[in-house]
Formats: sequence, C-alpha cells, structure tokens
Amino acid sequence: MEKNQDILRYEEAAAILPVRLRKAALVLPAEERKTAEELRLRAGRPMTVLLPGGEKEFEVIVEPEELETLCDLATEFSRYAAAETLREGFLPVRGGFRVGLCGTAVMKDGVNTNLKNLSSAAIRIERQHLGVADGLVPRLLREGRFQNTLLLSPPGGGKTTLLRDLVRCLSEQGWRVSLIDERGEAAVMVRGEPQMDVGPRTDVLDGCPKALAIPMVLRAMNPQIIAADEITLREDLRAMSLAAGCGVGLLATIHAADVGELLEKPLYRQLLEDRVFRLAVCIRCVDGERSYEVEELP
Amino acid sequence: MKKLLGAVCVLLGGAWAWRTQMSAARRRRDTLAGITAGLGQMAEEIRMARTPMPALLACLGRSRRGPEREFFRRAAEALRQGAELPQAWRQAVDTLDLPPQALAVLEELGQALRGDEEKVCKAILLAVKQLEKQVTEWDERRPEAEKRTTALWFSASALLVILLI
Repeated sequence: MEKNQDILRYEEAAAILPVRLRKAALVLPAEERKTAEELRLRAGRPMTVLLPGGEKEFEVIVEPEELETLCDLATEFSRYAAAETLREGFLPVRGGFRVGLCGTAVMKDGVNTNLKNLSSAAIRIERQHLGVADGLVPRLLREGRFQNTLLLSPPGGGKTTLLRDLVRCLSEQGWRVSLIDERGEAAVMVRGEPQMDVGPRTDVLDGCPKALAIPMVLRAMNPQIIAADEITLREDLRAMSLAAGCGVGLLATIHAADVGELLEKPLYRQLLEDRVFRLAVCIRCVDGERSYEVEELP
Repeated sequence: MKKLLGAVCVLLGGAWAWRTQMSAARRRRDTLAGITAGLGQMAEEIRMARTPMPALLACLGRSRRGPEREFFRRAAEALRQGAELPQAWRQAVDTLDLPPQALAVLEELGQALRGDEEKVCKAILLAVKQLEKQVTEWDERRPEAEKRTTALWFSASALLVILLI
C-alpha cells in the first residue's frame, strides 16, 4: 500500500510539470518513482530526477518557457497571489509539494521583490510518513507534561518529517499546538489550508520569521506547545527562551548529528545552559531505516 | 386586396428583421460593456485582494449578469477541468458574439494573463481601455448606424412592395 502511495506522490508531483515534461517524467520505472526525491529542471539542460543514488537525466531538454509555465501551473496562474513566497524562491503547491526556483532577483531598495528569467526549478516530492512519531510522544512526556524537545539530525535526516508527525500526534492527543512554519516546509500552506496533516488542534503561522512569529502566537493563540522548524538565529533562540518562560512547551529542530555536536556550537550552548530544552531526539539512519533515540539534555 | 396583404407582410417582415438587427447590435454593445466592467473588477480584485485566478473567474461568473457571466463562468470551468489559462480564456472568448476588434483584444489579453501583479494588472487595464474606447466609439456611431439600418430596411421593404404591386 505504502509503495503505491509513493508512486502516486511521484505522479502527483509530475502533474505540476508542463505537458511535454510531464510525459517524460512518467517514463520513469515504478521502482524509481517510489524513491524519487526531487524533479529538477534547468533551462537548456535535460530534466533530472533526484534518486537516493544521485540525479538521473531524462531525455528532454528544458525550455526556459517551460519554467515560466511550471511557475504558472504551480500558482494556478496566479503568480501575484504567491508573491511573498516567490520572492523567497519557493512556491508551496496544492497537494503538499514545494517548488524551489532560481532566476534573476529583482532588487528594490536592497530587498528582493521578485524573481524573473527563471533558470532552474526543483519540485520536492514531499512524503508525509504518517505515524513515524506514534511511539515517540509518550517518551516526551513527564507526569503528563510535555518536555521541551529538540529534534537533531544532519541535513536531510528527516527532522521536518518527524516534527510534522510529532505535531500531528500531539494535536490529535488534545494538545493545542502552534506551528511556526517559516519556510513553508512543515505544513505546506496553500491559501490558508495545510496540505500536510498537522492535526486537528494545530494553528499554523507560516512565512513569518520565528523571532516575530513566536511572540505573535503566544499573544494570539494561547498555545500549549510551540513547534518550529530549523532554529538557527540568536533571535529565534531568544524568542524560544521567552516562550519557555511563559510556560509553553517547545518543540524545535536543529541541524546537529547528536547532542555532542550541539554542545560544540556556541550559539546553542547558552540555550542548553539556560536549560530551556530538556530532551533531544536524535534521528539515526542505518541502511535506510530511521530510528529515534531520546536523550536527556545536560 | 391580396397585393395589399402581401405588401403589409413584406413591411412587417422588414420591420421584424430591422428590430432583430438592432437588438443584436445593442446586445453586443451591452456584452462588451459588461465584459469591460468585469475586467475592471478583475484588476481591482487582483490589486486589492490578490484573489487567485480560478477563484476570481468563478466569482465573476457568479456575480456578473448577462452574457459576460457566461464568459467568466466558462473560463473558470475550463480552468477547473485542467486547461491552461490562455486555453481556457480562448475557449470562453470563442463563445462571445462580439466584433472582431473586441475579440482580438480579449484573445491578446488571454496570452498576457501571466506574471506578477503589475504585469497582469497592466494587461487587464490596457484591454479595459481599448474595449472602453470601442464602446464609446460604438455609442457615438450608434444614432447614425441606427438611422442607416432603419433607412436600409425601410427602403428594401418598400422596394419589394413596389416590385410586388
């Protein structure tokens, strides 16, 4: 069943492509469709699919006009309605996909206002993996209270996937969760609707820097848990500490292979010294299988 | 008596044809004015609310009246069924009973409805301007055109009556 779902996701992602490229993408054998991670388009170069073993070329050359058509299709011919994310270089697409774009940035007063002359695009084939966090939630509770938790893994390790599923599980168990989805990867909001299942009691604030978003949801949504993807800036950490001081549970992802690596990063040392976070979930990947280890933070 | 009756029938036929032509011309003019107003509303919605195109066309298909309602509804429906916007737009334009110049403006607009807000709004407002100009010219020409049409139908009917009598 899961295999069919994976193939279906690939086909749904291919449906975003202009007709000629779509036909070419659907030539890929079923075995490779299951594991495909991205479809990549570069003007004047062959379209490729990113597989676990690397990029594989199709026999079609991408025309620059097709990148514009892709952008139109992804935005349902309403590029103006996606201006905020387009200037950030990505488009959330109905179905939970994400199209990353490259081109010429249109700068106004030192700020990028748009992308024109599109040169590359990457359609990320998001797969939800429902249930990966099912057994994890009880391990993050102490006497029924959610412990502030960091999700750790190197890039591409599955932090966002785990965060999304943890949010879903917590939400289904009755917790009021505010999800700060700055880069639109966790919930993939399209016109106010999350394209990924993030649970029935989750409020999503997307496209807003975490340092601004956290006080906003604290004031506006009365959350029990605030979840955020990729905390990387000092301001994000400060906002997290502020929220912790208000008695709200915190769940966040950080790029680090394990707690040891986290301790080596000066930015996070203060956070650990302040004991804002109590637990860490380290994501390990062995032979393509992911396992989750819960560790107490020092 | 028969000749008189025939003459009356010919005159009535002429009057009916005149009336049909006049009302068709007025309907075309009203359609054009309606579509122009709809396009104005479209530009406004894009600028103020950034309403996505499928929702915008569907909304215009519900809120407008007359043939323009059908135009926007058809475009929205084709888009919903998976057609690309220029294709959906062209399909809807093809169903319109308008002068060729107006159809050309609308077809061109269908190709220009892509890109950012500024580009799309510019294209719509340019089309609105061109169509408004056509409506104005039409209104200016209308009294003379109506007079000419009336004279033509009356003369043709009268000539036929004379020939029959």
